[in-house]
Amino acid sequence: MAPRPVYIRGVAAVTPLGRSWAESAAALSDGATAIRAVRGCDVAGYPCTVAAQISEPLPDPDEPDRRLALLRPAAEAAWREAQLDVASQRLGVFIGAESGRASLSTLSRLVRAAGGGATFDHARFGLEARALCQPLVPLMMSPAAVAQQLAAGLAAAGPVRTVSLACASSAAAVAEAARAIRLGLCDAALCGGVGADVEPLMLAGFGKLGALSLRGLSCPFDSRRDGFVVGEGAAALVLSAERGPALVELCGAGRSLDGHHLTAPDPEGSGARLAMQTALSQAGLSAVDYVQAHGTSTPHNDAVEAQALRAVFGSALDHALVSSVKGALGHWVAGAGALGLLCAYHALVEGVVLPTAGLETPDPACALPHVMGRGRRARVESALVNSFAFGGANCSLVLRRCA
Amino acid sequence: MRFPRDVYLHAAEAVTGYGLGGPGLAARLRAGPAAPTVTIPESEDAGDGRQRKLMSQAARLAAIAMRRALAAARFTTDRTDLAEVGAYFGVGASGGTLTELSSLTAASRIDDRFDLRRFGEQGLQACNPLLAFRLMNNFSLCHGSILAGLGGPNGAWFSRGGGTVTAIMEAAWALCEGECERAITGGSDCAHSALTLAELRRAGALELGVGPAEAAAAVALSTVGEGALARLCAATLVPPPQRPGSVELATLLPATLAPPDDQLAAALSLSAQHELDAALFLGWSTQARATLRSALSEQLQHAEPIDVTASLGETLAAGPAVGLVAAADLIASEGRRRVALLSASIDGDISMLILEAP
Repeated sequence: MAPRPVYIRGVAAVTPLGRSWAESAAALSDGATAIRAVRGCDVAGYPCTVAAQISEPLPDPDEPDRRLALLRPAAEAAWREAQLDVASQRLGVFIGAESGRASLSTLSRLVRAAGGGATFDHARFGLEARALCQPLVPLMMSPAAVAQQLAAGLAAAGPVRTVSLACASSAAAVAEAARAIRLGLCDAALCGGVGADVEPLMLAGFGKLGALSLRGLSCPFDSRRDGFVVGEGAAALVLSAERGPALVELCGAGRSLDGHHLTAPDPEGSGARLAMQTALSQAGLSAVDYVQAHGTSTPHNDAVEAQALRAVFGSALDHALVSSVKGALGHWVAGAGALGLLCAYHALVEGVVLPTAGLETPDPACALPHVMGRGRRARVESALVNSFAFGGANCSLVLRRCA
Repeated sequence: MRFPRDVYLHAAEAVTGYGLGGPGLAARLRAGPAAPTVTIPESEDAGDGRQRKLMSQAARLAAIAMRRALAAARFTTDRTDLAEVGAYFGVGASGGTLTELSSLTAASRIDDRFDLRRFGEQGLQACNPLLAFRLMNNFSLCHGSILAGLGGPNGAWFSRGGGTVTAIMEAAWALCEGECERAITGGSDCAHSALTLAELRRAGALELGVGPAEAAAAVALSTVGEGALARLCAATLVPPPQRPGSVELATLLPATLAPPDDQLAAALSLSAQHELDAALFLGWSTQARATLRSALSEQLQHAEPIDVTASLGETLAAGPAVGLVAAADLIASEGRRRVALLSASIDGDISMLILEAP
């Protein structure tokens, strides 16, 4: 029996450029960028002091977990757009998410109560843990809390999965959802991801790693690039075995490991190539019209991705278009893949390829058919989306317009 | 559900309070409790000293388990060959340690109050530059795969038990769909992590018969039967009838597990299709485990099911993977023909895995 096709029935997003995907896509197409000085906390002295932030108040201001405050409105909007009638046991939820964060002041209180010195007193912490942990709110810390709560809201009783694969989390969650539908484990799935890492601990952590832009520029594939800029937002989509009015099919997914280094990509790009080739092979394609690149604006990653794209597509790449949304919206980490997928979906449905904001002087090492400045009208029949994670986990997805 | 192709276990390795290894694990579980922490012989440790500084304890244990499973399965004879080996792991949330935050926060205080600007100026200097590595959940998978040079399809599922069963099932499906020919799967966690321990304590779980522990386990899978320890013939993961809408600890009560129309009955229906001669179980509380024991005892003719959690402690994401290693050991070392592994996880999922002699 042939595997079941998987259709995209609804998409939605909450981004720093809009409270809906339509609003966000319009701004992106105009070449807007959301990269600004960090608001809401004093980051003087941090390695990078800019980010792409959602303006306050959040869409769900009463929700204490920022991940849910961003993703729940997007999930609900995608579900409304899908207009599906599915038995609860046949509805799954697949979300890419990392742990939520306790605030630094909360952590400081915890540490202080456990001795307060530079050495953490585990014995004292253990004795006082019950009282100490009240302000932590486990719901806000667990990666699983996001998918669990979305499932509860939709009364979804099918598979509920949380994929924690760093920058490839939400792309891998979409791949898992598609596989579950193909195998008949569910008939429809809410999937996507959220990034909520514009907070001091992660700005410090990524900054200390040297991964963030010291210049405060998010400019994928540009000669000036020197690191990524953190962004936040949520992207959700609904996949279904039932085509209905769907215009786009998710037809390929490929995953690989670099097995090379924790932060640096394999210089040969072999893992990236394998993920792309597997996704294309599953889709039965050898070329696509558009690539939404991972394109983080880090020196090595962008160069390796460009080289890998050349290796996979050869001269066919010259007939395609390439862009990265991270120039405008920063890097959403766990939510990045789902956002990239929405950009590819937009190209297929609206015939507009969104540009790479911040890209002014393409690096010769990243010679690709870039879309710069403003969105470009193009007939796009198929598209590839790349997500390449810290730790070397890669995930590529292929979409095509329904026949 | 049954898998459309035969999926075989070629190695099953655990890193637990009993020590390192898979053979004999079932006998150790029956004999008595394990130490709550793992003693790692220097010769068996993961990577070198510099690499270990990058690892959380869960990542370190996972890397050891993966390396041992790859070696025992003889997947490591040709490193270039490892590029197609898949890796699927259940990973816990115990990556960071508060010890690393102590020096950071201590340097960031003014008048006993945390100050963001001081954090930017002095706190960052005291911050371990590798902190972000330890905080990200997927690094429990990535460290081991980088050290081994694995390059195939992969996934890391957040797990407090159920996600690890998902990882095992996804690995099997990847083999069945031809996404890879060989794969490593398992789970790793450290419930001694200060935050995890605090959460267990806060929720009253430590009074439910839970002894926090650390462990990792990995099994090597392939679709080739020759030389296999066991065959993974069926698996199911049954979600709770209604999502709780929270991740508060589940306390499974016998009343909520009553057959025939609940999720335990759904999970048990898989093992009821097979004649079992051994079974193991993992459960969140003493009460839940009593229910699981009772249900499994009815299906077993001549044997008592093995309570993995009672002996091993609560190892969260590692639990079902250790159980799977013990199940394979029952077949490979003790000659059992068909073994069931039943687990009830904190998030409310109930899973069943069935292994057979190859």
